[in-house]
Amino acid sequence: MKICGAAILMVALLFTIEASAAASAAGQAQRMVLSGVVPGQGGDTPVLERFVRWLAEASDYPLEVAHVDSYQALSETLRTRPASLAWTCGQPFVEDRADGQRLVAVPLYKGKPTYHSLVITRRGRSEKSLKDFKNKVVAYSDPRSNSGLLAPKYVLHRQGIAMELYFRLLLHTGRHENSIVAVLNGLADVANVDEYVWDEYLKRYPSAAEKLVVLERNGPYPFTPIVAGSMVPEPAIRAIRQALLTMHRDVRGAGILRQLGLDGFVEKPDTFYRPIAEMLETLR
Amino acid sequence: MMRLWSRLSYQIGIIIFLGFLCIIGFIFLQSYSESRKLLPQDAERDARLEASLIAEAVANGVRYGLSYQIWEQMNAILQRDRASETVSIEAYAIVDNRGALLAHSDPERYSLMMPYPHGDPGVVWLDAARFEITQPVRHPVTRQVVGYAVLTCQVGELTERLEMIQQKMLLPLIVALLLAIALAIGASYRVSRPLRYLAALSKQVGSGTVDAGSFRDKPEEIRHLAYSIQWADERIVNRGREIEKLAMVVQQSEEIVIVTDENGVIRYVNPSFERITGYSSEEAIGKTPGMLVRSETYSADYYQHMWSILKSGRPWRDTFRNIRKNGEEFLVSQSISPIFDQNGQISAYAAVQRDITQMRQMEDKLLHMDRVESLGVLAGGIAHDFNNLLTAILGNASLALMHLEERSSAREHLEQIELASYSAADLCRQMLAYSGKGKFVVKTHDLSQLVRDMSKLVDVSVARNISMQYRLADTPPLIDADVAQIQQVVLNLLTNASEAIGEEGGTITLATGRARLSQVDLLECICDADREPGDYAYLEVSDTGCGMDEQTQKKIFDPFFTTKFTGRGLGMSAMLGIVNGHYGALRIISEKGKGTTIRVLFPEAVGARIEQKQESASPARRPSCAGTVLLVDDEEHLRHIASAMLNRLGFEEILMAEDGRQAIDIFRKRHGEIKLVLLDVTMPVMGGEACFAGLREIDATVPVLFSSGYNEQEAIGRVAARERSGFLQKPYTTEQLAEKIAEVMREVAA
Repeated sequence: MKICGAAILMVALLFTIEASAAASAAGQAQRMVLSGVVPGQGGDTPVLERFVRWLAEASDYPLEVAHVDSYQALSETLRTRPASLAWTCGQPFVEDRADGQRLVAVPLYKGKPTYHSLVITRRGRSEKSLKDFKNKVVAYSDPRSNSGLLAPKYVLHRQGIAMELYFRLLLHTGRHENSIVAVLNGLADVANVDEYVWDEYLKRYPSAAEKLVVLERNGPYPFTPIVAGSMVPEPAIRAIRQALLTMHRDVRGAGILRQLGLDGFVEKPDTFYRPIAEMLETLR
Repeated sequence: MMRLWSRLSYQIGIIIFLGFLCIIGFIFLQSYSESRKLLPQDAERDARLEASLIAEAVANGVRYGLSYQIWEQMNAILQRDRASETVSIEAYAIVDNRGALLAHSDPERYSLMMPYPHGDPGVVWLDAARFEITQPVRHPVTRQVVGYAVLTCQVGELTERLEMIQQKMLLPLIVALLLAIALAIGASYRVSRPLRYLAALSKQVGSGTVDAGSFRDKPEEIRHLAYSIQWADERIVNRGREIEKLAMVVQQSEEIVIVTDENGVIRYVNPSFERITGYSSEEAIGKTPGMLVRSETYSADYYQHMWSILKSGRPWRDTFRNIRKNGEEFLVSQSISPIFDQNGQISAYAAVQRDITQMRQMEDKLLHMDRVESLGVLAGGIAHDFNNLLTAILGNASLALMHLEERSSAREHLEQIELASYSAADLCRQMLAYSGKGKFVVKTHDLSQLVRDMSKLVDVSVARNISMQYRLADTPPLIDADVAQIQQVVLNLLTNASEAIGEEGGTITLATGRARLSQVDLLECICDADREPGDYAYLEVSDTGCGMDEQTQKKIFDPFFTTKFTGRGLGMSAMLGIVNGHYGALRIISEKGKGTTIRVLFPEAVGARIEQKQESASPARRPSCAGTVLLVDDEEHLRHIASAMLNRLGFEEILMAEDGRQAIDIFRKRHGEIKLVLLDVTMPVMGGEACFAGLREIDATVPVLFSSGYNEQEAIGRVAARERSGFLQKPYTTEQLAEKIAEVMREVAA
């Protein structure tokens, strides 16, 4: 499992792929489960709609978008509907591999399949690092977010700090951009966000850069992967992977990638997400 | 504004408008007050509802401590709507059941999970427009309290609410105000129009032309007012007439009317004041009467006493000697009365003065005339008695002379007795003249001619060193007069003038003429009070002599007053008697050292003709005196002497009676024998006049010769049917008796 970037909202895409192409062609569409993959993708982001539609066409695997509000829900969906696909985070992928999830492809961000977890706070504060925020409110997106919670927990752990006890409140915001908003509004003193989400947020709200400042940049960590449920047929997986890997060469696909702020997809082995598994192991 | 408010119509309009405004305002305020009262309750109710909804909404978030979700939820709630129209959530705090803050509207100030104290569930008002509501957040299933929602609510501004109410009421308010204005204008017009008519009507008050008939169909109050104005007009006109009359009375009054203020300063004088005093109204007003007309007749104490009486509210009446503007004195009978105002305080004084100068002069004159009259009566009585005595003396003397021989030594004595008797008789005549009873034969004469006829007599009457001048009127000034008396007047005046000139010499001017005398002219004359204005003929004697002072002028007519050493003092008084006897008047203009002019005025005889003087062509023939004579006289010695004279004249039988009754008795018995009756006039029991009437009843042809110590006019002037009668003035001589008997006999024979 790959842990996604700190500033990006958790997005899970679950592809449920029927066993046969014919059956899938003739049967109902499977779900592409998403949970905060891209900033502002609360269900009304056309680019994700277009992405899923393009992927279904390109792989000939019928898909429809299904948004969930947490990685827990995403995992539950893939369990209950194993023919689905999902755009998930590294930690859930690592933790849910036992359910038969298979890694399809990893996005390329800034030319790399990795991203960072950023520590942000409001400009002008005296704190210099996350640990300076003792007894303060720390915002995070999801309890299973790599960049939002696992990475800072691991970093602090290495400094001998138990994150759950060190801060007055770990503020669960649901999405990385909510964490940014929480810091902007003073709700939280500091937040750990996905780097990809952070960059996309600043593209949309440049004024936030005047108010916020990045204190720490932890990583790199494996980017948020696209995984397939246990019942997605292997040919379909291959077809889907192939489509993703060549997406940047497709006109429509390239356009969608530009809108997503990504460079393309690469194929990686499951071991690519070992760092996350190790962090989990360490903290366990 | 004051000008508007001064008009009743505007007042009524404004009052109605304000009244309406008050009602509207009251309704508005009631609504406002109700709203103000209900506003907090509504706000609380709305806030409670909102709080409960919020509590339900965030229950799960609180339950799981999802601060961000709560915050996001609250933001969404607060951005979506407000609690109600009147309430908005100003701030919120969501705490868990341990009191830790889960979310706050001001996260920068209130950090999450910090202890957040809150009150018990309910509502607490923070100020007039804000309250805090604490709402428990319950578990969705177990309904246990898992936290609290503390909402700070802002009640919409009262003014906003009022504005909202005002906006709601604006239209009805405008309509009501327009209605109020319309009502006010209508009422104002309704009031002002009849008032304008009434004002026009009232302007006619005092003209007597007010007619309220056109107000018959007007509202009752207006109608009554119009009729009241008409009634007032009538009353004012009537009063005006009365006042006009009174004003005319005061204006035209002969009496002086002065009105002063309470300090005695003149405020009004009538034209009589101006005429009598010579001061104009403008000169008098503003001054006190004392400054203008007061003489020094009365002392300061007098005026002090007068003012004390006046100020006590009583009137003051007295005679004052005042001074005209030209310095002349005049006498007034004055009545000064205080005028009281409605409060009984003296507000003015009114003085009514009557000019009694002329009246007082007249009174003085009458007093003098009365005195002269009294003396005249006395003198007349004395003269009458003297004449009777002189008749006896003169008769006896003449009889004695007849009996005496020519060479008798006693004859001279008897002749002296006769002369003395004539002198006495002359004196008696003057006394009778003074008494005005000496007028004997009244005939119409030309006064100028009468003077001309006296010229010789005049020349010898005045001294040689005096130059006589005549200015006799060509047009005959005719008078009815006794020539002898007029001659006596002329001679008297000439004598006095001559003596006034004295030895130094001078001029006497004798003039006649005609003059028309007015009442005023008569006042300047010395005469009886009953003289009438009219045409008079006058005789005027002026001399350049020593003149008379005022004192002398006042006394010259007093009997026995004289400035001459030898005078008896009866000349001027006798002259005055003659003038009065002729119904005339005298005027004296004299000044010490500047001569004297005395004008004697007689009423002009109108339509009379001058009787030609009868020439006595032949001497009186001795009548044939024989037969019986009835002699009637109350004086025995006169009967005796007259009897002797009659015998001497030839009458054989003299029947004598002491009074008229006795005479009638005798005459009734023997009237056939009686040839003549010699009848005294003044007798006891029955006088000559009544006796004459009785005799005439018995025999209307018997000759009667009256005899009296008074003159003919006085004695028998009133006797009617005096034919075949004559008059013999006592005293008389035998010759005079014979002449009179002859005259009567001639008349009987004729």
